[in-house]
Amino acid sequence: MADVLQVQDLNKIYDGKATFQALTNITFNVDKGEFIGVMGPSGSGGKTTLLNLISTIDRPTSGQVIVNGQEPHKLKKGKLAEFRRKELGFVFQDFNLLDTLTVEENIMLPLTLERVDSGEIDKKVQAFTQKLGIDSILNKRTYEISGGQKQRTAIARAIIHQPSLLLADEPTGNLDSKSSKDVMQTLQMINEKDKTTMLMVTHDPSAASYCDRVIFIKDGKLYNEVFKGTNQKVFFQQILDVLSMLGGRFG
Amino acid sequence: MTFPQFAYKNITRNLRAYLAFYLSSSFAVMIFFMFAMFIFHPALETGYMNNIAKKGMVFAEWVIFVFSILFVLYSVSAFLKTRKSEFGILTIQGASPKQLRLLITLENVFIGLASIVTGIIGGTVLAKLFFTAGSYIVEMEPLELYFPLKALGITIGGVFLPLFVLISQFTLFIIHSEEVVSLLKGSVKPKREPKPSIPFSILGMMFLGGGFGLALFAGIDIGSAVIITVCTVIGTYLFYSQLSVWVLKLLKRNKKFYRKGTNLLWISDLMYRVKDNARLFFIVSIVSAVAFTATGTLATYKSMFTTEDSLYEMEFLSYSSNKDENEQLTYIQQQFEQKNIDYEQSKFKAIETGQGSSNYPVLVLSYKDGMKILPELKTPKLEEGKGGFTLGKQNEKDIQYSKIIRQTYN
Ligand SMILES: Nc1ncnc2c1ncn2[C@@H]1O[C@H](COP(=O)(O)OP(=O)(O)OP(=O)(O)O)[C@@H](O)[C@H]1O
Ligand SMILES: [Mg+2]
Repeated sequence: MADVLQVQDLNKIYDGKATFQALTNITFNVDKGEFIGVMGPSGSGGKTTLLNLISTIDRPTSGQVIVNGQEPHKLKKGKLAEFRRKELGFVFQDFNLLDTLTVEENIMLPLTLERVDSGEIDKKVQAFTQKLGIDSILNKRTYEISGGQKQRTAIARAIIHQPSLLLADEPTGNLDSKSSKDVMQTLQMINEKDKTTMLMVTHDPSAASYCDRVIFIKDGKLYNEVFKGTNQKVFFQQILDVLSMLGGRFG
Repeated sequence: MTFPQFAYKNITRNLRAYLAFYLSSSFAVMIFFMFAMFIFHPALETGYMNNIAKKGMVFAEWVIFVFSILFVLYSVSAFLKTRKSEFGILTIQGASPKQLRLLITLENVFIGLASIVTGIIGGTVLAKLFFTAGSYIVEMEPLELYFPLKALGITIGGVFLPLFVLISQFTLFIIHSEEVVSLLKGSVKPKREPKPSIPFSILGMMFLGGGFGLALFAGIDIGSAVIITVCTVIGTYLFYSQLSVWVLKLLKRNKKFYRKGTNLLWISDLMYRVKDNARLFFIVSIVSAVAFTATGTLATYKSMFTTEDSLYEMEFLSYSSNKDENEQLTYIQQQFEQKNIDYEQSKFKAIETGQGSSNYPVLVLSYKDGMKILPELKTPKLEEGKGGFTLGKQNEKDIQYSKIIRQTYN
């Protein structure tokens, strides 16, 4: 199968008072339709850094990111915007919703920017928000809703334009186990139905067990990876084993 | 929701954020427009004002021009800081450069036009007050309000519209030159507690004290005026950026006072605010100072002109462009006759020219006329190309001889 995402020799050094190497020589490939989990110790992993580089939020110090044959970091501004609109969906660790807009308006923002027909927008908003259980809060402003509701709003915004690559930074971090399960099932369904490729950072082993493969990162280096066999329970146990080997604290 | 609808919602639901920017822009427009209205007043096209006082006002307008730009740029950068994350979110959601340009241009046109309208209305009201107060000081008929076509043209087309266009470009430049990650983090960068420096605070006090001291006790000439200006400008800046924080810090150190009731809240809050807004306060102070000083100087100059420089009990000065000269003269003569005042009239032609380093305007008359008017001066015969200069009714020894540029009389 064709690789949707290729990451080659990726390095990120933060310049500041002290320079800090957050990622060292990260290389991996992701097939079309694969659902990848990224795990690692809190704070020192470099997971958010990795996602930021893939999503063109930040610039790598060296190395390559290739998405569907394109190198986004080398695109011109106009093309890059189009790339972000069409190919990418992003769920931020801290949501990044616009507080001037309602929940509904936040969710439809990617479609608005793409100039999609208003009738079609309404249909999609309804479909996706029902799946995520937020169709009753569509007219609320972001300061009127809970952390979990914000998270689901952010997820809806990231998937509504059916991107070919979905990047999610702890999409279940603010949810109880029941809602977490709902969200993971929604993601899994989108993954299977739309063949959306997904890369999800998580601290939660049970959320990670929905993935096809889990990559472990420690101190900015690739540490290990675990593939799901046929059984989710066995996979869950394997994940726990690697995590205990890794040490460190998990959220 | 279409993109224009989004832009509209973004502005209307975020009015508070736009308010500060709008108000400070309005203030800049207002002061600038008031001065422009004064400078281009038709009654001042001819007459006494055609000289140093007007030059002073034009100079004041330039100062206000420069500070207006600084002021507006400063408030727009403060405004931008609060909105960086918004631009970051739009960028990562895939807003095209064209859409961002449209959004930012719309916003700036909207705020720009609103503050130009507000500023011009405010400036007109202020000008009316200014004209009335000014006329009270110099005891003449108040200048009339007029339709200020030139002032409007310069304020709108010459300065502020281009400024707001420039600001849009500046905003776009900032957005395009930063990585999305720093845009997203832009609004949440923590502030450090302001640390005033004691030497700078003391220096500020010295500059302010020196400036005011000189202004009160020293003789006013060009040299001391420059020193006073420089001292107060530096002093004012240090006052806002250092001294005020330092005073608040002293209050904070006094635990008994600091921990009482709401003192804790307002002092620590004010410390951050004062520091944040130091530059804004500074610019407002300087602009107001320039406006007041210019008005004051004008009044002083005017009264100086009328008492000291007169050769006669009463003078009527008319420029060659004055079409109503004969009517006005007749009117004056009628007034004298009605009140039964005995008078003698002497009439001469003169040309106006600048004298000395400040280009102080003086009237030059021909030697022949001069001897007729002031026979008591017994001025020695002047050589070709030389002239004599006297300040009003003074003795011969006060006459300074200097070379004047040859002009043709007609
Ligand atoms: N802008 C930055 N400048 C300097 N160092 C940074 C910056 N951003 C992150 N780091 C450092 O890089 C390392 C990795 O950060 P990153 O945010 O990628 O961790 P993470 O794996 O996402 O952690 P968490 O699970 O807590 O979200 C951390 O040690 C962090 O201090
Ligand atoms: Mg993180």
